[in-house]
Amino acid sequence: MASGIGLRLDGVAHTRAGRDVLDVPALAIAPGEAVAIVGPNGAGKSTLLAILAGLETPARGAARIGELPAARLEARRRVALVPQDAPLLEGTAAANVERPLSLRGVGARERRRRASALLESMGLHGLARRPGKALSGGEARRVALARALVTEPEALLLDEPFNGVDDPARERLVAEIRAGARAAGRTLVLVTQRRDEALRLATRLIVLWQGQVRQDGPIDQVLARPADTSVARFLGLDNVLRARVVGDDADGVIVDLLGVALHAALASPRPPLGPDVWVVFSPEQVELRAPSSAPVGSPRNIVPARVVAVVPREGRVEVTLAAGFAGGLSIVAAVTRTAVDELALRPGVEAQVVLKATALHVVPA
Amino acid sequence: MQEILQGLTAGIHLLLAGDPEVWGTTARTLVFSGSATVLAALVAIPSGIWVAVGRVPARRLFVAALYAGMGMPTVLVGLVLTMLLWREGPLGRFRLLFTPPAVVLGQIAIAFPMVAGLSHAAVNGLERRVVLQVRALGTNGRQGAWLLAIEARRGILVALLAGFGHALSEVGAAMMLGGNLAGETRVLTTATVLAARMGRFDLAIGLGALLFAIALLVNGGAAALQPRARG
Repeated sequence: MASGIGLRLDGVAHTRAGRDVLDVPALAIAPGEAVAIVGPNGAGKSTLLAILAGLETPARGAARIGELPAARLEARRRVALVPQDAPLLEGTAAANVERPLSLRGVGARERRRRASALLESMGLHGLARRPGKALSGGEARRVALARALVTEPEALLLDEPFNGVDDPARERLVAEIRAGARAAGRTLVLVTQRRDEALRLATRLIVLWQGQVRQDGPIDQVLARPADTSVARFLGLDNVLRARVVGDDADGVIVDLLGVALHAALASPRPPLGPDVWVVFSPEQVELRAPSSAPVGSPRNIVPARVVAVVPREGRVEVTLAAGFAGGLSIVAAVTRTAVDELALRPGVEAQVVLKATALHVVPA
Repeated sequence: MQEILQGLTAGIHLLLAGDPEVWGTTARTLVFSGSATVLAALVAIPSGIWVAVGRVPARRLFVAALYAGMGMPTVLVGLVLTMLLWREGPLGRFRLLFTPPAVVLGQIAIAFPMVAGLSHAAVNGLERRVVLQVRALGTNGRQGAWLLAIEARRGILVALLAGFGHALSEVGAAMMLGGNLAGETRVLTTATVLAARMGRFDLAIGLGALLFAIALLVNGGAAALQPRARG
């Protein structure tokens, strides 16, 4: 059974067609770590992944898999990369899964046994004899994943593996990747555009922006305290609100958002009084209560608001509320369907917005 | 016009009558051009793939050289090889000039850039994700080239047919290197030139018709193998 292997970049810079696409002074991924890389299109995510896997040689700097230069064949064979829209090659699904083994000189009988066992365990046995190029998008992705796993790699690198995959297939893929990585202690690097996938598969989040690492840290910390407003917006933190620092208290500052005073606990150096700042918090951190309900515990921030819109999203309901002076402060909350029913949330209904001071992140403007 | 029609009729008659010179020349032509194409392809296909996806210094220079070679005048190829193979030339001691190997050598030089250039185009036309996927399987250089050749097999088959067609239809190098010796180095193109010079238009037209039919088959095959445009 494979265990994880470390991946490292030192002073890596890469250009393509004369354009700088990547500049990463240092990046280390520990053996067994699960890392998600996010960033807008063109941020250099796929290039970063290809360099980590030893498939592209950076213009400057060095990439290492374990202690070996990443481009070395013996290093490359310790990791598996599933590129974006990973194509299946000529032959049946089973032949595609067997191919990495045949390239490593594994005998025909052993190849068949291992590929067949893997396809069986992933519920893909029915596809084994079908031509790889005739499979649907979801089927092909799962076969591509089986092809990557058949060699029991020490690190699995996935480039948007769920693109164009329907929800049931996505669920199966996420479960297979997570179970496989945990069981094997395998290093996992995932490029994704979706926060929910990152949350389910990774413990560390790297935000790549114009070829540079904009933020890198434990996933909950990055989501709670994004480096700036553009990262916050990209990460789907819909509440990025302009405010002024109007006072301070024992563990943070008081900010004013259109007449609404909020307490924000600060982990970083506190900003001076006066200048504009941004207050950032995720919709999941917004709690809604009925307007007449008594406070539970000692929440620092309770804001009366009015529901403007209620929009069902994947697995949650997004509620937009108006608060503050003339209702000019727009707050987005993500709540469950049950909460919507219990509070009878619909446009025009009054509600209380409850925010913990620790949920608010203050970013200098 | 009447002479041409008479020549055409007589040429067809010669073909149907199984004239040994016509059919012998045809067989020799196919053997020379076929073997030259196969020998050229052994190096040209890997070269084309290497230039397309390998770590090639000055890649653009290589590509330009391949594409320029595709349009190289065959008589120039013949001239250079004649000078090399000439009795006092650097390769003169092998006594190859005016022998079948000299003709095959000339046709290898003519087919090579065509096969390599079109193989390069075929592999270069593969999607980047396919090339990346092949590398990601843990391939070494030879394994990667083989898998990419399979993925681009239609384009590579077109390259082979184009190389064969180019070798088959050239006349300059075959004339200079082979000397058009009857029963030895005479091929369809050089035989057609000789028949026309001698005023044997019936034979010239018969040979020309055969050459045309073979070229039509080869190019028709190449056209049929071209990947369809994606709608």
